[in-house]
Amino acid sequence: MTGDERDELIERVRHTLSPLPPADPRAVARVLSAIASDATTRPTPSVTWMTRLRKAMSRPVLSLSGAGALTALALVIGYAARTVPLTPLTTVTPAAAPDLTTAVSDDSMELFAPMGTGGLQPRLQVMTNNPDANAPVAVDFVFEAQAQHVSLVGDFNGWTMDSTPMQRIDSGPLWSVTVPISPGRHVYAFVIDGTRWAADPHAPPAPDADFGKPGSVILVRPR
Amino acid sequence: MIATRHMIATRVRATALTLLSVGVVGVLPAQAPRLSDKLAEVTDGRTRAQLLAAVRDAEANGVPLEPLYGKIREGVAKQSPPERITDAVRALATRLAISRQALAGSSSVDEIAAGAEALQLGVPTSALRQLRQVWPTQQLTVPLGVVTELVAYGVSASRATARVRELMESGATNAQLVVLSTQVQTDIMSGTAAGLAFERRARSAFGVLSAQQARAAGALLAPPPRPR
Repeated sequence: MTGDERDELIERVRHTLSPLPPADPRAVARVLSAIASDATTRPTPSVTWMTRLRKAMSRPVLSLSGAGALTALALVIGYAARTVPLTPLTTVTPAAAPDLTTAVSDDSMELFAPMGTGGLQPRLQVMTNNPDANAPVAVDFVFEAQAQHVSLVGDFNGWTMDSTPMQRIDSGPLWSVTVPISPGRHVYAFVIDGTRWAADPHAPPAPDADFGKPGSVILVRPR
Repeated sequence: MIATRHMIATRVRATALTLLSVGVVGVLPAQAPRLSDKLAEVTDGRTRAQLLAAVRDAEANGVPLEPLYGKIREGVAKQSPPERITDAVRALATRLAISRQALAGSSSVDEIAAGAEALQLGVPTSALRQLRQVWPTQQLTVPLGVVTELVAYGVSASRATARVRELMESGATNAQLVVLSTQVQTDIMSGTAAGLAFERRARSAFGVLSAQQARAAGALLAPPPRPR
């Protein structure tokens, strides 16, 4: 490297490292003024949207009669909507076990199986309540009776005698029905031929202190 | 001038029609069935009047009415004597009011009804309050049902409440509580005493929950895998 080349390199380094010259205040003012005028002439999309919205809100959209008509329409729709019976929106899962009078499938027993049973390990995880924990769960009821007609009654169907008839299985003595029930403890019974009340022999009995009829209890597990 | 008058007349007619339609909708009977309709199955006039009074009292106290209607239908379906139905409805209304208060003014019908069932089987009001303290926002329908069922099996109310509360504090879910109850029931049917069956299963459950929490904590504290 010659002396000239070294001087040129030093000069470039010095130029690069030297601070910028002080800005002219008038030039800064001109730049800011130009930015401000540009902002007023070309609004950003959000500003445009806000402006349109403000204009739309300030403009009288409806006359008095129009507003009244809309109110009447809303009332009519509300009235009609209240007359429509609501059905659960939640999809009800099909019950797993054939006899679900306990509403707990076999594998779920491992949730609290004693330590060291082997089946516990895959479930070693912190579990939390499902946010949809109150959604109805499909529960199968099976009952054996020599009868012409069997129906299921319980607190989940408001103890209405005819709302949940059971279907006979293969023309035999077994009757079944699947009902969506919200998680928790429920009391139920079977009514044979509209007159005879029977408890579920495969479920815990329900003490009926009020009316003294046989009944059973089901604890429905949330999904 | 004529155009202006025509416009004004049109607006007046439209406004009148609107007000008329609003008035018609307001005059129509409400969709919610009337109280007396709900008691249509009660044929005895005196009983119906008594039930009507009981339901109106309950309504004034902020008690949910659907469980009361269910109790009336249950009594009618079971062909119980009218006075027995009335007594049952009044008693249920009282329990529902106590349950609602103990559950800190819960607005969930299922939860309040579950509390009322628990009270009927001898679970003390304090138990409802204790469980509410553990789960101030989550629904207590399932825990209350589990406690009720454990008491029905023969477990003492105080022990059932205490253990279920501890399990909830340890992170037990609704599903786990139901499974615990079912396991206790199975053990009882196999001949184990209710108290013993529950204590064993509860201890086992605490072990499972501790292991779950230890594993979760371990996963959180474990160092990240070294890049290869």
